Amino acid sequence: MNLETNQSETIRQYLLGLVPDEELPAIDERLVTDGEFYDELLIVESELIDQYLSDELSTVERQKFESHFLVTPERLAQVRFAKSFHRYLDDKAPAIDSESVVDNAPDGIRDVDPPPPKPWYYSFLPLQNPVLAYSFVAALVLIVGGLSWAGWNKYRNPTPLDLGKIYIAELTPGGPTRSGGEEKKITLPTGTNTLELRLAVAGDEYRSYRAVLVEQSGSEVWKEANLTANSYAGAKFVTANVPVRFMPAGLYRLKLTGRTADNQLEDLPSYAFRLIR
Amino acid sequence: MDDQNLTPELFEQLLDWLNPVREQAGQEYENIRRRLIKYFTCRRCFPPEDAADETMNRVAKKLAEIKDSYVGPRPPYFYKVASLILLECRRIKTLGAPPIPLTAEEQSELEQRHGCLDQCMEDLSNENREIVLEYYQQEKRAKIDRRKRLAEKLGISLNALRIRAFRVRALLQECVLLCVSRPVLK
Repeated sequence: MNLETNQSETIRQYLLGLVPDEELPAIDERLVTDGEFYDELLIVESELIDQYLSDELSTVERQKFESHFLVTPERLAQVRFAKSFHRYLDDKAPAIDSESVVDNAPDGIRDVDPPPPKPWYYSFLPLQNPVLAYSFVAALVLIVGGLSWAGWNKYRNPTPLDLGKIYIAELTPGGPTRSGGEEKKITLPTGTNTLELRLAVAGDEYRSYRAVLVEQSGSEVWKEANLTANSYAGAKFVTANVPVRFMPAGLYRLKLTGRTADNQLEDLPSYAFRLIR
Repeated sequence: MDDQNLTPELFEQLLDWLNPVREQAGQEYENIRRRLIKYFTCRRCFPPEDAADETMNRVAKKLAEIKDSYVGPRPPYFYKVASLILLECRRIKTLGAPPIPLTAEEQSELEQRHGCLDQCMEDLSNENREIVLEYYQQEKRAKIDRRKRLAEKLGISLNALRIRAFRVRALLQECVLLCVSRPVLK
């Protein structure tokens, strides 16, 4: 098989639903008529799954993977297998490393004892190299400071890549009223990190949506902008991934705002639910 | 969509049209069907297996009209029929399916799969085991270097290694699927 470099990338875009409509027929036809192209697509599929599991996809690609690619039981089975497979490899990794080093060493080298190494800090001792030593300390301070900031930022603003264990719930607008309207209850399994809320919306006149989650007192607990609506089974849903690990049980309301084509924000019906642990 | 199955006579005629050698005809039938399923999956016409079977049915039913005049490879004709079915898919709005949530698996399922992987890895040849363990190990830079060394050791190109590693992985996946679906004897 001798394929052009950008063919794999084209297939990748095709699998994620990112190819312009006018280019689709050519790819479609090749998929059905060209065995080599089909084989390459299968390989790119597995590589895409690996990239998804190792958090190498961009935010847009990840969203498309979940909404466009992961839509059949067969693909779900592939992802589940890949997850187990990589976990299995991680378990085996230390044994593999030691074997391959010994087995692959060229003849003769195994028989030679290496000289005792100097301590790693030796070359940095001020007596040896004061300029290098102080530069090293300054760099270390910067690195530690940067890592601390990044860790704190990640804790405050978990990225879409840190979803962990997910629980899914569908919501329609409305919620409990003073006259005793029905309350939607969401009971979270132990260890849930993310509550994936699928919010039913009418029509698709909004370019994007903004979601704000408030607790009973009215204070804001979470928000996210630039959400888009996906359709399935004839209905439209906006998906909001809410980190719930440390959220207490209680009554919450998710307020949705739609951004129109001319950039105006419009309030939409909100979604109320009671979180139970 | 027309969901009548192929009669045995039509099925035989279809195989004959694909290839006069029966074994090869069967292989080509399976190849085309697999590719059609992938096509309908990628283009979100669900369920893709039904759409693929409908394609085969319609081609078979058209054979009486085309078999004397049609010249050339058979797959393009299947594609033509499939593309019409895709249009029908759009019209009756069977496009799109809810994304399937990747929820956490039970610990027992994970352990079972791990055990099956152990078994299935044992069934591989030494060379295939080394390929799959070395090729899919580690991250980024270390992974690239490892793959280059492995390709050199085997005397094949990186792309050939990529294809071979995928094929072994696909064998493993099939093996694990069978293993997991076997009833547990008590």
